[in-house]
Order: sequence, then C-alpha cells, then structure tokens
Amino acid sequence: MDIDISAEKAPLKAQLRVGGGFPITWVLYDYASSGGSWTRSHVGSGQGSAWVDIPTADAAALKDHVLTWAVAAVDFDEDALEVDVVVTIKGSDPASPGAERKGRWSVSKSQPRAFISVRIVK
Amino acid sequence: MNARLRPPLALLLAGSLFVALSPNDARGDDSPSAAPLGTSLALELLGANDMKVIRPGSVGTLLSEARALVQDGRLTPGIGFEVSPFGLGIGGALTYEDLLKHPGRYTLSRATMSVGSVADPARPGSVRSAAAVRVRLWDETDWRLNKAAIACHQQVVTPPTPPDAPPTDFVTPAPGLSEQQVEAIGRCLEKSRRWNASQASVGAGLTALSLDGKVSSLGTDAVHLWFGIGFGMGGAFQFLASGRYVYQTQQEAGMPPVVVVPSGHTGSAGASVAYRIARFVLQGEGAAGWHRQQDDDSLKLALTGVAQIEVGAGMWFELRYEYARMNDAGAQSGGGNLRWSYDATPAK
Repeated sequence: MDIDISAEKAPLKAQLRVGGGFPITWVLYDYASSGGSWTRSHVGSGQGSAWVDIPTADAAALKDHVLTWAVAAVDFDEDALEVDVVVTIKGSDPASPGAERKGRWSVSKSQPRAFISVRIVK
Repeated sequence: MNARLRPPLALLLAGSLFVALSPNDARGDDSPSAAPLGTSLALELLGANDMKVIRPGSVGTLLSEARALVQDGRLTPGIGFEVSPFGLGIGGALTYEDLLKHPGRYTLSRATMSVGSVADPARPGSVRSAAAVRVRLWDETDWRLNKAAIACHQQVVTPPTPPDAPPTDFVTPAPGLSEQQVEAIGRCLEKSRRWNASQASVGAGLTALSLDGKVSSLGTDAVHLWFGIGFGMGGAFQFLASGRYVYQTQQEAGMPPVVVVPSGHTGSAGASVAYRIARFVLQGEGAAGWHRQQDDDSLKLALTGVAQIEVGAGMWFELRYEYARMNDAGAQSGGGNLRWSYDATPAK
C-alpha cells in the first residue's frame, strides 16, 4: 500500500479510479500517527474519478500518513467483477505523471464497499 | 407490477411478430424473440431459448466452456455460452466516466459473442450449432444508463464508516450489505426501470450442422442477419420493430430416404405497438415475410390483435385475434388464453 511521492511538490491532489464501469461515491480521510495512536481527518468527498486537493504546504510533511478512501460502488449485477483500482497523487509540476499505486477489487451487488488506502513513504 | 407485465408481452411477440416461411421445420430460426435483447443470440438461432446460458467471467472460464463444447473432436449438444469484452474483464479497467464519455467504447463493451449447440431430434447423433455476434446500439434497460436507479442505490448504500486506525492493505473490503439493503437496491431497479425502455441491437450469425456430431463434419446451413428496436413512447405506449434475413444453404433433410432441400432466402419484418395502462394491455402487430427457393417466391402477411388483463398475481387473461395470408389465401382465427407466470427462485 506504499506510495512514493518524493518527486511531487505541493500543492498536491489525489485521485481514485475504479474500473468496471461502476459509479462510485467516496470520502477521503487522512490518518496521521502520533504517539502510537491515529488521528483521522476528513479531506474531502465526491463521486467518480474526481481529483481532491490535499491540504498540505509541504509534501514531505505527509510522510507516514495514510490516505484512505471509503468507497461505495453502485452495482446491480449479481456476478462479482474483479476491477482495477488506481490511486494517483500528483503535485504542481504538470510534466510529472504523478505517483501511482494499483490494485484489484472484487465488486459485487452485496459487497460494493471498500477502503482503498495508501501509505506515503517519502 | 412492471416486472410482471413484461413476460406476457415478450411471449406474445416471440410467437407472432415474425412470419414463419422456412420449409425446414427442424430449424428454430423462424421464431426469434422480437425483443431486441433476449437471451443469447446463438441459442435464439437454434430455437433453444430455454437453455441455460453460461456467461464466463474470465478467459479461463471461457476456455473451459470451449473445451466442454468440443471433446475428442466431437461437439457436445446442450452447451450455450455468451461472452462480452466487459464480462471477460476488459471492462475492469474502464471507469464509469470512461464508458459514458465514449459511446463507441460503451457499445463495444456491451457487444456479445455467443455460441450454442443442440441435438437435432430429427437426426439422431447429429448436432446443430450456432455462433453469433450481437451489438447493442442502445439499451435503456442497462442500469448504468438509469440515473434514477443509480441515485436510489446511492441513497441506500453510502461509503462505509472509517475505522479508528487505517486499514493495512491497499484494498480492504468493507462489511457486506444487509439483506434489507440488498432488497432495497433491488426495489431501486424495479421501480425505476420503465416497462417500455428503449432498446436496439443488430446481430449476425451462422448455424451449422454436423450429421455425425464430429467437428470435422460441420457444414454451415444458414447465415442470419437480424435487427431489433424498441421505443418507449410516454408511459403507456411501446413500439417494437424487428427484421431478419436468412440465407439457407442447400442441405439434406430427414432420415433415409434423404430429401435434398435447395438453398433459399427468407426475409421478414414486423412492427408492433403496445398500449398498457395499469393491468390492461392492448397490442397490435403486423408482420410480413418473404421466402424464395428455386425461383419460387412466397409471401405471407400476419396481423394480430391482443388484449390482456392481469386477473391475479402473475396471471393474465388474454383475447387474441389473428389474420394470416399466404400468397392468395387468407385465414383468420381467434381465441382466449389464461397465462400464468411465476418466479421459480426459491424463497430465502
């Protein structure tokens, strides 16, 4: 779940892409560790593949933070579908493709919700 | 209510919109469903609409089905499967926005290829098979295009409550939905799906016969081209139209003594208008067909009027009038039917 954003400069923005043609709604949280416990803050919420701004003036200050999307997909189909999940974190440099993390999620009518998390390592 | 209304209409259309002209009764290709999106097109071409269709969800499952169809060089009857790029996982990379932004991509993702095989009871040991491609040009029955259903689902299913500590995996499934939530999203779809949703699709297919069941003996016996279109007009009217062309190759039919059936062309087209209000349905259909075999043309015209009323849960009473004209001779008939359809899904 690690993602390296050392090449990105603030301001940062993040995007979640979920395949399978599912409409999604999401809420993004930022977890920060302090003294062995976690504090959670709400970053933003939205639908689909919308970008969300990450409120930090210094990308390095996000080291060891965990960004977690709480996601709900709209799925009326009975059969589960294995879909691609891609998280992108992008800085101010338009030439940079951004840092990316990919995975897979099995979405079904009865299991349409998940948490997608990335830990910022640099 | 809406879900119960559709099956009787579909049955009626399947039975009457097309005009049967082929001289070969063993073929099931003269009575396809007029509904643009029915079951697998290959099974429709084989007249085996009741057969179960397998829809492989991966390339591996598709290969398993293909191996089940052909074993030791012989065709296995009773196999039917349908694949689409989306079903095989290619859609796993496409977001909802990707699909809606590019209509061509959406259409391609919903295209299907189907394969089927059936035993031919008229020729023991033989197997008829079909392969077909169907492209849905538009389909308002697809929930992905149903904004009301999506909005309703989003009211029922919201993003999960975050845990106190962050999940440790990239993807962590949240607890599944309750039975009540699953039922509620089922109702979302049911109440927002129009009984007369617009649909259109085109298809093409081949049917082939192997007299001894061996793949090496397969010979194409017909080429099929097909289209179907349905338009909802307001809340009460539905217009359906279908067309079909079949080229039938020369073939041998029947048990010895074998009869050689010459090649022929069959074309048919039909249109239907249905009006429904509450539990009452009125429907009028007109269809025309043409068949040519060895420079001999025949024409057939059929007109049908149907009135249906739902008299109980899933139970319909219908009055029907039919007029058919074959070349210069006409005939009419009428009657009443009681139809009962029910959900065979075991109660939970």
